[in-house]
Amino acid sequence: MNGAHFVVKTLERLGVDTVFGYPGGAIMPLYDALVEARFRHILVRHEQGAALAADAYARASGKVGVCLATSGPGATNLVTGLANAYLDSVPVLAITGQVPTVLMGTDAFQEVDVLGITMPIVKHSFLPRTLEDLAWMLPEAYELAQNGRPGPVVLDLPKDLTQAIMPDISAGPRLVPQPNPVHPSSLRRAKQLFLEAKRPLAYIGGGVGIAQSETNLVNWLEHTGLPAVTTLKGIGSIPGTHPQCLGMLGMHGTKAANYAVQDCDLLIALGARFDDRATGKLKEFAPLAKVIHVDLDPAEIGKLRGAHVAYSGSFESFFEACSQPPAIDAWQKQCALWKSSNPWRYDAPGEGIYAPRLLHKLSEATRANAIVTCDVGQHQMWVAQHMNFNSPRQHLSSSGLGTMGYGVPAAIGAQFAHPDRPVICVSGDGSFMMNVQELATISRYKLPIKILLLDNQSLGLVRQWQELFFNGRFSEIDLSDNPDFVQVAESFGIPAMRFESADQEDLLVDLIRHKSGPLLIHALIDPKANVWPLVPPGAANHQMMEGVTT
Amino acid sequence: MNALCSLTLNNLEGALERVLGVIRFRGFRVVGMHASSMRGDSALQIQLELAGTRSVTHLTKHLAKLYEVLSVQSQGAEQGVGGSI
Repeated sequence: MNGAHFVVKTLERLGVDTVFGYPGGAIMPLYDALVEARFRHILVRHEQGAALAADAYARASGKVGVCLATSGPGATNLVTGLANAYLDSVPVLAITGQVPTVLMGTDAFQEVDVLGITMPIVKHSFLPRTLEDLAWMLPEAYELAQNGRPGPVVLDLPKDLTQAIMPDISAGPRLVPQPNPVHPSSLRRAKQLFLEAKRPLAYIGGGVGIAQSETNLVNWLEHTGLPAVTTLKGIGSIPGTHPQCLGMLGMHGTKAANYAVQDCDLLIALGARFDDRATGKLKEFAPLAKVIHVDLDPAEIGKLRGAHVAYSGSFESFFEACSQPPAIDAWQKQCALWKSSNPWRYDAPGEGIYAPRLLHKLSEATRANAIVTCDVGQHQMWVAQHMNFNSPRQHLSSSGLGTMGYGVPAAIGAQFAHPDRPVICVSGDGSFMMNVQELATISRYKLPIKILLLDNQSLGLVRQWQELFFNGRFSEIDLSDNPDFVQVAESFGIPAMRFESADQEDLLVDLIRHKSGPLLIHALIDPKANVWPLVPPGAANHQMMEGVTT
Repeated sequence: MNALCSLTLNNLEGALERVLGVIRFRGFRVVGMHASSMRGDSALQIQLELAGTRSVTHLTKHLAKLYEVLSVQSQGAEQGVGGSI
């Protein structure tokens, strides 16, 4: 058995069933060993697609996503995907080929310093120099990716190690997760604040879904009666239709969510990190509130907003400590009133497709059962606002990095994680072009992914900001020379149709729900449509702008 | 505002580089440094003098997350007394 076969056998032993990748010179021995692998390899058309598909596979399945690339450009093409996984705390193992150890540091063909390049955007990176290193580093890298706060880990694998005969080496002890020490005094103080609060609010971030604590969260919320807001990554941790869910907070959040944050007297941050898109002007964020911050990662506590009580134990132990329902009838009524008096409006004038209404119809029709992947831009915010989700593993969105081009490869990863579930990619005409080559992957593997391409012939969110905050000086946002997307899809063997009028919205939803196999829906929307409400830069969250629906 | 930071590292490939990268990214400059090997050369003990206006407590928490870091202690005017993780 050579080093490459050891890698394959180890991945099998670790339970890996799917890897995404693209071969090349330095990783050829590993690809040779893959011929006998008991897991499947998905050949993408660009390494960024492999990293993003692995990311989405991990988010949708709860397992570690694995991607492979060769040295040099193969590895550098992974970088955006690794950064994406890093900022959203997604467990990904990236194995990159490297030139033989004897050539390392000589500027050999397709040699770059992968360890150095990826260092700031991974949880850790390993570079085995010997077979003994490889024996312990590979399982360690896999465990590390999912241990504690998850994240991407790189194993940069010199070619000669994959070709050398592997001696019988014990893999050594596996990483044992070390839980954070639990401080009962923190829980006592939390309980005290909780019972004293008159206007407590749960602020739910992505950490709840990562910990797979969403069921316990909803039980706790229902038991205590607390209203809740979510971040972009927290969407689905409490069903969007739940009466206690006020929606997403922040820049494009709901009025109810932002008003509640501004008025609450106790903010309970659960796996949330006070991201600037969520907080708006930090000094005016939740100005009346004491803060209880519950997060597995101590480095998130106090990073942007000081906490009156910090707790790095499990969500469940916090829920148990704060299980006595507080007397908050008036506050519950106020939050319900904010919610009922600020409903989304779908009565847009005009005869064109209105993206928020279309997405709402799609959400209603799929009964929040589909897995939806997004790209980045206006459509991403419309999905967050107008579609409901029952689980954070259904809403796959590049939240921290904001990676245009995420949607299509993410749909591929999600479909491999859940072959029997409907997967819908909502994209925009800017983002779609960034990983359009992965249509070939959809076609090759006959994945029944439905792509809803909302085309406003521009970089819509940039255009919106230029309109509102740069005096309407539009700079490099025009995409009116887009290719014919129907022809593009058809050239990859994917059926496609174009729609442009409001009276076609129901038909379009029906096609997405019922047509078998892959499908691209090219929906032309108003190029001037904006995302509302909007918290302008430098403003507090309650200072939302509201535009005219056209 | 200067802070002092003492670390013990597993001397894995790139360990010092990774520590210095975190220090830079989190808003500090290294203005003094002393390092010595421990346990043969499998570990490094480093004392750093850092300049920066950000929270040294926050930096310490991030350093403590690094895979190679066995222990980290910091002391700076911002936090008054030393913190250790």
